[in-house]
Amino acid sequence: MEELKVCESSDSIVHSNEKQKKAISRETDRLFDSLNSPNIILEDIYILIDNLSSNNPNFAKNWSEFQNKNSLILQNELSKSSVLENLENTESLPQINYSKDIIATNEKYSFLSQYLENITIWKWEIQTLSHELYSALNRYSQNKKPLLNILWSEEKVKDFLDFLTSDKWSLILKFTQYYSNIKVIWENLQIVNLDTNEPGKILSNEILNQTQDLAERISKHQNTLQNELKAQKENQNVKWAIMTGNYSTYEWSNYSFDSFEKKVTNELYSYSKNVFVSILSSPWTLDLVKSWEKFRLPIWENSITLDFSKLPEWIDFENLTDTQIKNLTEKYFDDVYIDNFREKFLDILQKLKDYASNHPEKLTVDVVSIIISWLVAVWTVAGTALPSWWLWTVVWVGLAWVTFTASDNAIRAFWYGVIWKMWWDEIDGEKSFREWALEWIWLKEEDLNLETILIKKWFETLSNTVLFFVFKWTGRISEIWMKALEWKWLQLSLWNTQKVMLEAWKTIPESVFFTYYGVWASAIEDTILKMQEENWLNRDEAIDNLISNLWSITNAETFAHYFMYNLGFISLVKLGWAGWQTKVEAHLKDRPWKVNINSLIENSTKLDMELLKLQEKWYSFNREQSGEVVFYDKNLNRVDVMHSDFANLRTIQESLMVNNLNIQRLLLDDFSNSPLPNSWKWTKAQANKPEIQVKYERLEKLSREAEKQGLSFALDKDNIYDWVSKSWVKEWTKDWLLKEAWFTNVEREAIKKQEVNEGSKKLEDRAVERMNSAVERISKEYKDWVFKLAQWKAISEAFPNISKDLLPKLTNIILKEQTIKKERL
Amino acid sequence: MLEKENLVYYIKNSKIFNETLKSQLIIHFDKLNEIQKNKILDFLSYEKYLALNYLKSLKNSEIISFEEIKNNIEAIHRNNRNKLELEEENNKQEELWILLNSLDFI
Repeated sequence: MEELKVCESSDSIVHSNEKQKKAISRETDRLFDSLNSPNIILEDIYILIDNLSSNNPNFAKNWSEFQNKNSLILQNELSKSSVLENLENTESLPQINYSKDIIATNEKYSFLSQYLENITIWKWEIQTLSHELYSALNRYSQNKKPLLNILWSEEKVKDFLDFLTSDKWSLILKFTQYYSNIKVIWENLQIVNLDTNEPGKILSNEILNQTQDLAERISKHQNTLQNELKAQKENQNVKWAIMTGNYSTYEWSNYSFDSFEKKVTNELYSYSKNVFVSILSSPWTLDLVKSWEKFRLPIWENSITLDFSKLPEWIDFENLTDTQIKNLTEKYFDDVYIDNFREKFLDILQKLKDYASNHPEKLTVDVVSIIISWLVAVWTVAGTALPSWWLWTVVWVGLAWVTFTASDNAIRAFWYGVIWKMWWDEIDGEKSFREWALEWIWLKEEDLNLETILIKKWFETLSNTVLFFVFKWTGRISEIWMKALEWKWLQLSLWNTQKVMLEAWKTIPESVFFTYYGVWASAIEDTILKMQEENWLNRDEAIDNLISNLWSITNAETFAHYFMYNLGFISLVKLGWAGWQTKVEAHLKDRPWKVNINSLIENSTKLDMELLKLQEKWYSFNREQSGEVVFYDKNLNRVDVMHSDFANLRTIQESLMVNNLNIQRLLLDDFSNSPLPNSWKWTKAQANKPEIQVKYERLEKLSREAEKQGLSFALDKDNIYDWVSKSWVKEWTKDWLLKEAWFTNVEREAIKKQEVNEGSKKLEDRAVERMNSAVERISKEYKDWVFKLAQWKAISEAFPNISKDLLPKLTNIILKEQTIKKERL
Repeated sequence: MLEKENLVYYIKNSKIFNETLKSQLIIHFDKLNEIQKNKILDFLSYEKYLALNYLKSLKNSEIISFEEIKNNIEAIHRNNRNKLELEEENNKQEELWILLNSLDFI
């Protein structure tokens, strides 16, 4: 019976609980419905949300996610709108969604990478063709020969059109290039027309007939191009038929250059604009074409693109080089992020200020340490005599104070080092402190066993410092950090990884941390690389968090310490440098060829000046040549960049021919395997190429040999231009030192015999004579080298975006020109 | 289209976007085209609706307790009632004052 009662009571509890739940649910519904009341305004809702957020972390997190979601939706909308506006303005022009087509096929990546790889080469080919066209027309204007035979041979027309129709996915690009080329044709026709001093008037019948013939030939071969376009985009209203198929039906008798030009320009511009707007819906591709200076559209100037989520669909990062990615990202992100950097900098300043007000004593120690560091550094660099004794006392007291008040191992290690050096150094060329102590104070030689203990202590603490320097000064962390900032690829997952690592940092003593510094750096680097394969959301927020958290850990105190390390390191290096320099100078004092080295270096400087003058002359010559070939932008304004490029090319070609330089050897033998300047960075794959490795090792060897002789050439892998320019300096320096300056063993023996037999000049005198003549000869060779290098530099400067693939191409073109010229002569 | 200052003001005071986006929009406001500005305005005009819907979506979730939401919503209603009462009181006083002023004491 009792059991039954218990069951009943438990049932009633369950029943009452359910009733209670239902009542709460009803009450909840009523409460939420009451929010619909018109009396509740937006501010009330936000007050409610603020209250809930401040008291309930779960709600705050959920609300933040809601905000992020809304932000993302708005970003997407804005990103779409940046191109939609322009699409709406293009009326009935064909709407082509190339992006979908590309993504739909398996070739989506090959298009983009091919685009990147080949864009410069295509530009170059178009320029070359245009140049030939220009030359032909120019010749025509001078010789009045039939236009067509000179302008386009049968083979040339076919080549050109094959080029235009060779690749499906580069169709749009080629189309626009073709447009540029047609503009060149018209420009040159205008030049011919201007020869009659009748600008704008109908061209002569002869030229018109020939041009019409040419147009028919072009239109015939253009059918392939047109069909291909039609096949890809049904129902499009291709308005550029006039360019591809209707030359023959055009009424040439009513020809007016201006109207035709305007019509062609408008048609092509509208069509191209539409195509570009469609294809460039991603900010990345937008940026790609933005770099193509010939063809700028107004939408690029006004668009703001905040949606990064499309990027991974578009770019095949595995196939892009680091340089390409860097170049693309740099341009795109510059203006967006510069404000953030300024804010961060102001934040750093503020934190320093806070630190100074909160830690006055510690700051005093740091400041005094820094001042003393600088004093020592200045003293070692200036190499002046030691200061007077009273100043020395101040320095010693300061050093002792700083050393024993400094809390950090690394700082103490540095000062141990300085004290140790001063302990052994002679003062005023007389006695060291050590000797002075032995002689005048209570110390005896055996007491100085303490030195052993001291030096052990020094090495112990220094080892940690060295580890720090190694990792710090290789700059890995800063490099990775800068990369991350430049690329803006940090994201939430990365942030979590970083956070874990930085939390770990807090728990590890600094000395131990430095040991693992490189490991952490690698981990961060790997994370950044892996990040490319992951989602790209919340990037901005991740960057902000990362910066603020990194700073909170690397606080002002740590910053001050690192500043000390740097100063200490500089002082130490300068100290060592001064000593080494003294030894080297003493070593070289009696070497006669030291003078020759100096004169040679001086001579090099003079030749460098000549090089600059030469370049200046070329550029001024280029400027004088301007006005013959003109390119136009979308608004029919002259484009000076193209023009100067073109003029530079022609001038350089002529210069090269006139001077009869062996440019092929220069480019192919010496530089074709070498990376070029202009922000070119070595990728791992390139650096590991066997031929590059061999070349680099050889240069390293030469560098070491040169250093043994007192010459110092830092071999900088990153700065290829320096590397190349210095490599040949080393080349002939080596030749001079090893082959010319010194006699072979056989020669040496022969001369010695001669000395004995004939009492002739001493071996050393002969060596000096021989070296002087070698210097003269090599200086002459050097001048030639400088001249060759100047040619090369001029080419690369005239075409700042020139790729390594173009140099061999340039060589071929130049050789071709030379051959043609010789044949004609 | 609203004037720039107004739209920027609305963006600043809105709470349905995160701070990063808001600051980006304000910094680069001049680069936005008309369509983009209208999009933002559309969003902001639905702000109350979005915020309300968000709160309603939490009705049966475990993120907020019944007591918590009850107290807060009731506080809002209470405040609103107080405000209304205060307004009414003020109105009455105002009317009374006007009436008194209108009497002609001779």
